[in-house]
Amino acid sequence: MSQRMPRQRSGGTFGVKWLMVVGMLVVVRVWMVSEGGKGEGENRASGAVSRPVVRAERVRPGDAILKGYGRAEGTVQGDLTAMAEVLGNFALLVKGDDPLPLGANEELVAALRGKNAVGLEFVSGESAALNEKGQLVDRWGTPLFFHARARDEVDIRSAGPDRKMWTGDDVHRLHDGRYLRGEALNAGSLYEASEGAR
Amino acid sequence: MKPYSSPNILTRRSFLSRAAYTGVAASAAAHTIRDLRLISTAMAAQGPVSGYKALVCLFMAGGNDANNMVIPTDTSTFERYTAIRGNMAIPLSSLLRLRTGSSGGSPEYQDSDGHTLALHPAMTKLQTLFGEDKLAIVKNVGTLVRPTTRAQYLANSRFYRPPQLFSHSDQVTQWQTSVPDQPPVTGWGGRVADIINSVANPNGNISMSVSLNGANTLQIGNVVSQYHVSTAGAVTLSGDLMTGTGARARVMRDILGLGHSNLQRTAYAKVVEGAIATGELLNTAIVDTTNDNFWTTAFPTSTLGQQMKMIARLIQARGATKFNMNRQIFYCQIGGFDTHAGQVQFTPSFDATLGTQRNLLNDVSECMFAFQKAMEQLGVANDVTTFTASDFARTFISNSQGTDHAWGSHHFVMGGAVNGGETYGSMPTFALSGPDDTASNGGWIPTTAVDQHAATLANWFGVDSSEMPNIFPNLSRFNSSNLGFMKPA
Repeated sequence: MSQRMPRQRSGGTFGVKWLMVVGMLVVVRVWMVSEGGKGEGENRASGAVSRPVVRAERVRPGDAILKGYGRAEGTVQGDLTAMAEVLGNFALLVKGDDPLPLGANEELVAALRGKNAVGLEFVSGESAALNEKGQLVDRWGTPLFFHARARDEVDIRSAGPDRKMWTGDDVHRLHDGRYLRGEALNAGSLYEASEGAR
Repeated sequence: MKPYSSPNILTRRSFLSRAAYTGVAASAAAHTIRDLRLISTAMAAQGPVSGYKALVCLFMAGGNDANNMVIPTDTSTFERYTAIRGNMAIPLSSLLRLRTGSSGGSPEYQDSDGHTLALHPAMTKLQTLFGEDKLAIVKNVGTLVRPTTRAQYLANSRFYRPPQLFSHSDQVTQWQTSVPDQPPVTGWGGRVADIINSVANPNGNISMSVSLNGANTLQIGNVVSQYHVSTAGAVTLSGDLMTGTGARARVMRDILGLGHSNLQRTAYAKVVEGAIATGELLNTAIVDTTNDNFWTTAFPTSTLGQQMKMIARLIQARGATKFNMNRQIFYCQIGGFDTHAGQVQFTPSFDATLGTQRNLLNDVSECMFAFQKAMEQLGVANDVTTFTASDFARTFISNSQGTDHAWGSHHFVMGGAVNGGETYGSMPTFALSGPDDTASNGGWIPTTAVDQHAATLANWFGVDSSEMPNIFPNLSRFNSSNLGFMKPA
C-alpha cells in the first residue's frame, strides 16, 4: 500500500512561487484599476468612437429622503420623521463609534454635508431643510433642536408655527416616533419628561 | 422537491459562521482572563491601607448648568457673564460671594486667575462650608480623551472629541468610567474597589460598593459587585412571615439548604442565601439610627436627603461588630437637571433666582450640608469625602427658556480631608467662539479631565500610585495626576 509522503518544501523554491503568485495578482489588479479608470479623453485618444455621455444627476441619499420636506401638502410630523430617517440612515452608512456629532445644529449639518469619517455628502447644500446659515430648519424656517438622549436616541423638536422654541405649539418627536404632549412638552427637565413618555 | 440537507454536514457557510462565533467567544474569554490577571497582579501590588475612608458620589443627572452654580464676580468677567447669558444671568446682588473665612467680614476669596467667585443664591449652606474650608471647587472639569484646545477640536474633532459628546447616557457613562475613548466595561469606582477591597476589607460583611440609586456605571467592577440599598434599608423578603424565624422564612431557608447535585442550583441557592443574610445583617446593623432624632442636623425629606441619610446610617454601622469595613464607596443621585425649559422662573413673574435649577441646587446644598454635619457627629469628617458629578454642563447662551447640552463643568468636593476654601483648575474665558468654546454657544472645552479629578480622589483613598495606570489608563496623557484638592493621606 503506497503511502503519500509529506511533500518536502524547499524554502527557496516555495518562496519564489509565492512571490510569483503575489506579483501576478498585483499586475492583474493594476491592470483592472487602469482599465476602470479610463475616461472619456483616453477613449478619444485611442480612436474609439466618441459617444455622448449622459451623466445622471447624483441625488444625495438625504435629499431623496427629504424630497417632500416642508411642502404645504405635508405635515410637520412627516418632516420630523423624514429628518429622523436622515439621521438614522446617515449613521448606518458612516458607521464607527461616533458617526453623528450630537452638538449644535451647525455641527450636525457639517457632518451631513461631508465632514464625517468617510467624507460622505449625505445632504446637498440645496436641501429644502437647510437655511442660508447652514442650519437644519423646520417648515416655518426655525432651526430644529436635536436632543441627544444617547448615541442612537435623538429626539427632534420644531418650534412650531409661532417660530418660538419652548412654547406650547412646539412639536417634539421622540426618537421612537412618539411625541411629547401637554406639560411634558415644556417640563422642567426634558430628560425625565422623555423618559416618562417611554 | 425540498432539497435534502443533512444537519451533520458542515457547509462552508455554517463553518465560517461557527468559526466567527467561536472566535468572538474566545476573544471575550481571553479579555476576561486578561482583566482578571491584571486585577490579580494589581491586587497583589496594592499596599496595606489603614483606618476608615469612604467616597460618596453625588450625581446630578441631566446635566447641571454649572455656569449658574459658580459665577465669577470680578467686574469685567461678570459683565461678560451678564451680556452673554441674557435672561439666564443671576443678578450680582443675589449671588453668594465666597469668602476665605466663615464670618461675613472675612476677605473675599480670589482664585489664581484673579477672579472673585460666588455661588447660586440657593446654596447658602455650601457657602458656609466653603468658608469653613470644608468645600473645594474644581472648575471646568469634564470628559477628555486628551488635553484639547479649541483649535485642535475644530481641526480634528474625531481625534480630540469624546465619542457621543453632548449625549446624556454616553456622557454619564464616560464620567463614570473615566475612559471616554473605549467601550464601557467597568467604572472607575469599581476598578478601585477591585484593587483595594481584599486588602482593606478582608473580613467585610457587605459589599464595598453600595448604591442608593440602583445600578450605575461608576461601581461596576470585575470582582466587587455593587449592592443596592433603598432609602429604607436593604430590600429583602418582606412581610411578618418572611422575616426572622417566621414559618415562610424557615421553609425558604430549608429549601435553600437542601443539597443539590447540580452545581448551578447550588450556586444559585448560595447567592439567594447570601442576599437574605446580608439584607438582614444590614437592616439589623442600622437599627440604632432609625430615629431621625439621632442626627443633630436634620436631613431634608427630599429623595436625595433620604439617600444621603441612609449613607450616613451605613457609615455609622461600619465598625468591626457590624459591617467591619475599612473602605467604602457610595453612590447617590438627584435627577431633573436637563433644564432646556423652565431653568429659571418665567411665571407668574420672571425671576432668574427662582425656577427648576434653584430648587435642585438648594436641595443639593441642604443635603450636602446635613451629610457633612452627620459625618462630624460620627467623628469621621476627615475620613469621608463627597464629590459631585454630572452628565455635562450647559450652554453659556440661553435658548430663551433654559440652556442646552454642553461640556466642561464645575464641581464640589466636600469633607474634612479636602483642601477646602479653595478652587482648582481654571474658569473658562467667557467669549462665544472664544478660546474655550466648542462652537459659538459657550460649550466650554474642559481644562481639567475627569481622569485627573478621579485620580486625585483615588490617591487619597489609598490606591497605590503604581496602580493608577490600571484604573485610569489615559491619566498619563494629562500634565498632572493629582490636582491637590485633597490633603496628603
